[in-house]
Amino acid sequence: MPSNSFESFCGRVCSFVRFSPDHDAITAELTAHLEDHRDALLELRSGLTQEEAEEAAVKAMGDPEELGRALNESHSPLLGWFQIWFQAVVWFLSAIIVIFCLFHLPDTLENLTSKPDSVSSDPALYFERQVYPDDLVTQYEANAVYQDPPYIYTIEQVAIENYSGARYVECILQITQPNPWLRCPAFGYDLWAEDDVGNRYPSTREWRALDETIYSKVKVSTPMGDFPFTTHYCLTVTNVDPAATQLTFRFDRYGEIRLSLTVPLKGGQADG
Amino acid sequence: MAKGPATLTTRRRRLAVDLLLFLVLLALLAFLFLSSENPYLTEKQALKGTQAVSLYGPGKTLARAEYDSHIVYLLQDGNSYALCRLSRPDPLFWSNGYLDAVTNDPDYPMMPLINIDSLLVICNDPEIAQVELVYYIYGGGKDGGFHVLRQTEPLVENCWLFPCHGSLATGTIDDDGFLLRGYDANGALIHETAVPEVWTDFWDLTIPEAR
Repeated sequence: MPSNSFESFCGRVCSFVRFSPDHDAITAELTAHLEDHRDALLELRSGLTQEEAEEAAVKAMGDPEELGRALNESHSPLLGWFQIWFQAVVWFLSAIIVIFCLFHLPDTLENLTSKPDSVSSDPALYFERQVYPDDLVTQYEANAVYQDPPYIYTIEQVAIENYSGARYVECILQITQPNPWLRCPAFGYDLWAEDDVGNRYPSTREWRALDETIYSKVKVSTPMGDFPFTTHYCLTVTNVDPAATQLTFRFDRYGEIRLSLTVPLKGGQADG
Repeated sequence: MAKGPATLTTRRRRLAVDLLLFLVLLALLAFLFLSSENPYLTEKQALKGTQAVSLYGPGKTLARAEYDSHIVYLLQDGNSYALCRLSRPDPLFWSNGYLDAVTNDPDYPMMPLINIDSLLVICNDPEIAQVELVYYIYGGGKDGGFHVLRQTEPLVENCWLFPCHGSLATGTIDDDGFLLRGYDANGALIHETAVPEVWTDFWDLTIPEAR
């Protein structure tokens, strides 16, 4: 048990150390040194009392102020407090992740173990895999862009196909957004199109409401892949007029045009 | 032996380890949030996000109705009215909700809008003081048959909301058809929408009469 003189000495030393969280550790170390010295003195000089040995040990440690100021130099309060608070932040962050994972464990495991869709990483692969070479009339780059914040819509690849004499147009639509929580916008059911020769190609919703025997319509695939900042869809327009040289996709379900994207059409009557 | 005080070297080492751990945890948290399907921390964020994803508005909030399992917002953007249904799959986070909207046509006395199990009626005739909804659920059991709901007060302005929770077997109100009736302040029927063809042509149903 530390004596009063040891406690008093350590207290005076620590009074010169500004970083208080280290006081206990400094006191513990000094006390250990003092006790070792006291015990050694008691062994060497049999006539010495406990108190005398303790006083001698304290005296041998030197001036408490000088010692305290020296220790203060190596125990910077700035670094010390920063390290303590930073560690608390790390623990807090760990706790948030644990809580988050607990509530989203199935989703988290699925996200960590699912493989990325190779088609999404290279949309041109979609045409290679989905279109029979005999049906493909032509495939080309369109570079059509439309911006409606937070979304940027881009049609990069267009494929014109011929199925039993009917002209099909397929486009790979890329949608990018800076906010990953806004991926996969819900437009597919209401996207319609019109060409430059006066034809309107109804959306899926319109097609179902009007007459399902109408052969011309716009179909939008489910999202291909699911990346935080980019989503790809395949847009298909069936039975496109062979005389049409361009096609405009539109979304205006709520009265305001939120998407208007025009792509040129090749491989039709105009191209012979 | 007591643990000694941390030296400068020790502190710097601990800081370096904590910094590395911090960066790893931050990257992990970012990955988890980015890939989450329930990303919103607040209801307001979920409402804003749902509108953005639905390519709607942003609209002005006319009303908010809270139910056991979800919240329904009534929004307006110009001439269009929207119902936005939000839910919280877990106690902490909100997910993107379901939004649908209708562009009001003043030529129609009553314009309906369905959002899963809620039906909004926009009344363009100021004489309408009560609205009645008659809908049908095909099949037996406690949910089968005709259901009649009446509202004597609009939710806000000319918008009447019918929550039909708990009374649907599957699907939405529109699956098996509905009709609307508008009554004036004296209780006289002044408007009625067309009877769904499936009620008369296929099922030969006896439709509940107007009051």
